[in-house]
Amino acid sequence: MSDMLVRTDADRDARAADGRDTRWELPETPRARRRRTGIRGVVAGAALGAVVAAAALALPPVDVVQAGPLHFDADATHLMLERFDERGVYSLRYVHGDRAEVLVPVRNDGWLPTTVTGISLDGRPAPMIDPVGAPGTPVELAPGEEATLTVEVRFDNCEYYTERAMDVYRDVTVTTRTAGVDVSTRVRLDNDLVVRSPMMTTCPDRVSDRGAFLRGG
Amino acid sequence: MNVRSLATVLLLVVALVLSTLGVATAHEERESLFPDQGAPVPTYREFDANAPHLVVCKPGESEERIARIGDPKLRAFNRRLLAACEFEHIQAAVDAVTERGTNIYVLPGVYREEPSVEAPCAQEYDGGVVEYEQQVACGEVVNLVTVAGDDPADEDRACTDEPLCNLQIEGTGADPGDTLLQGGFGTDGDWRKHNGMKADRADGFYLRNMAFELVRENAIYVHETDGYVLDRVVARYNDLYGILTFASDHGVIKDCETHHNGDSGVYPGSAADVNADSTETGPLDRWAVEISGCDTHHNALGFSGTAGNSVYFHDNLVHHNAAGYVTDSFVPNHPGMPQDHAWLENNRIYSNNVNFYENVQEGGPCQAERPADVGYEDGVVCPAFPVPVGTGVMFAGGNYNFVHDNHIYDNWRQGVMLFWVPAALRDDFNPANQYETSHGNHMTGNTMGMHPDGYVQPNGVDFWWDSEGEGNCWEDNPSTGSEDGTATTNAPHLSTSPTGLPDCEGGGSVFTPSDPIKSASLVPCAAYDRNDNPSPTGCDWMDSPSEPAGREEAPDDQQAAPGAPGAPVAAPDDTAGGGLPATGGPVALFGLLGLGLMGGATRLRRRPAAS
Repeated sequence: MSDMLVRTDADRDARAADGRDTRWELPETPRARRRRTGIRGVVAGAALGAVVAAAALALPPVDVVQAGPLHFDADATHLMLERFDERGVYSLRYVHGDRAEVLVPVRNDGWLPTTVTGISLDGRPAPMIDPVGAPGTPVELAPGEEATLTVEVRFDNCEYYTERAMDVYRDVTVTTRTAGVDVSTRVRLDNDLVVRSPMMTTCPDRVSDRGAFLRGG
Repeated sequence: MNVRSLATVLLLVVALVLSTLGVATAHEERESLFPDQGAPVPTYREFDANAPHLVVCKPGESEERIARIGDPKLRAFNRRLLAACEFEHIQAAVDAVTERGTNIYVLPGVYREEPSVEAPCAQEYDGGVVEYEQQVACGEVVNLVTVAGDDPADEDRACTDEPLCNLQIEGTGADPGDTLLQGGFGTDGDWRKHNGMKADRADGFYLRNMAFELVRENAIYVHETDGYVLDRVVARYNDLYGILTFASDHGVIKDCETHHNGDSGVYPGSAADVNADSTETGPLDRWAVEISGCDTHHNALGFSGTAGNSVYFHDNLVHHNAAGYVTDSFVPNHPGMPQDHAWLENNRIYSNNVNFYENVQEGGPCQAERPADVGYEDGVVCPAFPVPVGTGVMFAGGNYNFVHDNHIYDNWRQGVMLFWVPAALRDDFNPANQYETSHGNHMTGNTMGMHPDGYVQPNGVDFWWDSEGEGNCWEDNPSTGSEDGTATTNAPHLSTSPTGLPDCEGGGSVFTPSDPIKSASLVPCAAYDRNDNPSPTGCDWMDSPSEPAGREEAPDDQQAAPGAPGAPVAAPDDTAGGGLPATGGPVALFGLLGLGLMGGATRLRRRPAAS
């Protein structure tokens, strides 16, 4: 292929702007386009990486919220199992349909004031501890300030679990607004939160062919 | 870069993988109680033409199969019975029983119990709990064959003078596989039934010389029954359990074979807690069930029992499962918690290294949408429960268990595993009860890492312990795993004894809480779910352990190295060849093993995905 037949986008655009007919020019080959795009991508990626790295090193964290040990309201039967697993776990009793409150201490470790607009437990689809609200939000937090947030949860969805199942929660998602910017941050809990599936006798919706839903049926 | 971009980058940096879900072998059922009537273990009744009896056969098919029986006396006996055959289905014969102590003879054939599958009374079943009254009125909702002994109109839960008390059901073929109760799949590809044969409050139940296969849950199921015997039965290719007994007492399970079950081959769950008040460790004077002469292999778990209390388990073969003997205190609503007083003696527990977990991974056969497409009948096992592949015995929260004089070898992760299970995980949130498991367990006089014929076949480690519990001890367990012949352990620093484990002479372990580092894998592994989380993050239980150094190959394992898929003993319809030999018993089982393993190698070559 001759070099004369290769045109850059700039050439083509310039000729088009001049009113020249470009219909008979061969299009850029896919290989050349990939090469050109690849070079541009590498350069742009390197630049972006450098900027991100510089920013990460130069700036304090903008919007990081740290979670502390969980607490629970008086109605939620629970227990801390300190020596089960390296981190210890909270075990929470599943009572189908009941609601409970999980209290999550948080601290604004960022360098700007922030407003916590929401908080939720991160679980699988159809979680046994289903977060249904975050009463008390929004909450203003100055840099370094702490507050205890509430996640209202409902025990639900046991029908989708086997009698062997244990649902494990390791994170909360905290939603904040800082300087007009909304951010969602997933925060690792100090201790896992576990809930065991009840047996069929106390799970009113469970059927014997449980598992079909999870298989995609 | 603006604030949003930076925050996005930071968010990505802190993003964590979510994992979920589940553990522990268990069993769904109505609220159940231990029987308390003190009924004896029933004894086998020889044929007596004058005793009440009924005969079941398959027209045409039984006659052909009888003609193939080699033993002329047995063939003649079957022909005599054939002439008296009145029933085509087993359930029809059960329903026709009018006298207690009746014998039902089931002639060779494949029994699919079509009337139970299509029973009008079962059409409205919504899949929920089946109370005893419903078992009586329409056991077909979940069972192919129902033997519901107690009259629900009376106040007790005992079978006293009702017709189905002391019922005996016996296959009359040369082998258990000659008389086959088969579930299978419907036209929609789903399981046809949850259970094969269920004996419910059927005191004195005696089942003999039959094979059972292809049901969603339990092939043979004994529930709230006092006095029962399962004798020379085969249970195979089921999604969960081969033989399951629950909240029952005075049981005997002998000369059985269970294989290719997704949970366990034999499961005496919530066996009557007859030693609940005893703080003595075996041997026992009284047990809830005696299991002997059984060969349990190529299951996810060879044996298991949530609250498997007072189980006397002796002279069995437990091999080529993912894990061999497992008992636990994990699950709520099981009477008799926590588990206590199992007695394991003179068993061979070996080569439990088969990794069936490959079958549940993405693209594996167990992820097929329709059960009919999984390949259960070809030996595909879909593990329902997470266990550390390569484990011989696992006590997940148990007390006063006695493991004595067994051969435990060639389990590539660990021979015996003992750890604590907090009570909260079985729904007991009393803080005072959290450390109530893993006490008084004794492991003595076992031969570790040595094939009975003298071949060195070490376990990964002989004994794994999380350091929790009082009165646990290990003594006189010679091993090939160490140069000085003492048993190997994950905790060599725990004692000044040669093994590093507390010995029995000194009173065993002094209470210490669990070592959280050792239990670090338990919560991640609890997240296993065969449907949607088959490889939980942070759990290595589903990885195949490597072969221990110095392992010698024994002649009887040449054809099927651990990890190889196993072979069906008989094809589902090949009722002429499958099952136990007519002589039965552990000696015959040992001999059969070689043939089974050779078949296993054949299967491996033919269809690697099935196992």
